[in-house]
Amino acid sequence: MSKVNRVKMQFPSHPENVSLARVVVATMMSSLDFTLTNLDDVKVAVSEAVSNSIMHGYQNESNGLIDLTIAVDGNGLEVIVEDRGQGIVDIEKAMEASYSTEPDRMGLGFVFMQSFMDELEVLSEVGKGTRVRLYKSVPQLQRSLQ
Amino acid sequence: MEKVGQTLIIRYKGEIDMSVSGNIKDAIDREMDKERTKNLIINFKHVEFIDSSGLGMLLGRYKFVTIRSGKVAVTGANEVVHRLLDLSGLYSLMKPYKNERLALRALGEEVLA
Repeated sequence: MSKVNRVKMQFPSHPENVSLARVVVATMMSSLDFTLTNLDDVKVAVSEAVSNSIMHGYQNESNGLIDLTIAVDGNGLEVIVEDRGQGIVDIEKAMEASYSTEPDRMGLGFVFMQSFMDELEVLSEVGKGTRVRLYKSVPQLQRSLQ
Repeated sequence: MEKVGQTLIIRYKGEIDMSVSGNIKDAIDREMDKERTKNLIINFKHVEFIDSSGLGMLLGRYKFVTIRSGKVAVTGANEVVHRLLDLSGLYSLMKPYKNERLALRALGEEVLA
């Protein structure tokens, strides 16, 4: 039977909390039959989403709030990262490879989220905030063995 | 960190994301600014994780080193770090070597047999 679990947490936009988000998501994933590569993929995607909220949403100010919602059932994992930061002016452009608003950044955040997850949805409103939804399915083979 | 000839070797331990990449950048740049430091070797043996903040920091170090006509080499990447170095295209800027010794030799440093 597929057990459903859902965790919701809120934390300030401190850079140290990026690793906290990774750890919580990785712990939630361990209850499902994900591969180690899946685990690494999701950790990178979550790291990118939370870093984006801190760096772009809140412009590296640590007094913003980030909502992280993680839900698992037998089929997969859903992660939602929400901020009430400045929002993204042009989502399509922001999602392009090598588009970055700052030097020494590679503009790979959304590229990694897209290539490492099965689903990526970005909703953003300028001046209101950004909501990123990530989804990863448990590999088919693993599922059929359950 | 260790210096061999004109080459700085950095051996970071842990996960490289936005919370530490600024400090790593400062530490590397400070050492590189010291006299006769030209090349950089990054040993990833004890790095379990890196994301695009870390990769961006590495790209910045590449620029910093090449402006001084030096080279950057990498070694010791585990599977996840290797995959990200590959996907990001950083391997075309900083060549991977099997170990520090081979990287040092490729950078023209004298290494005892």
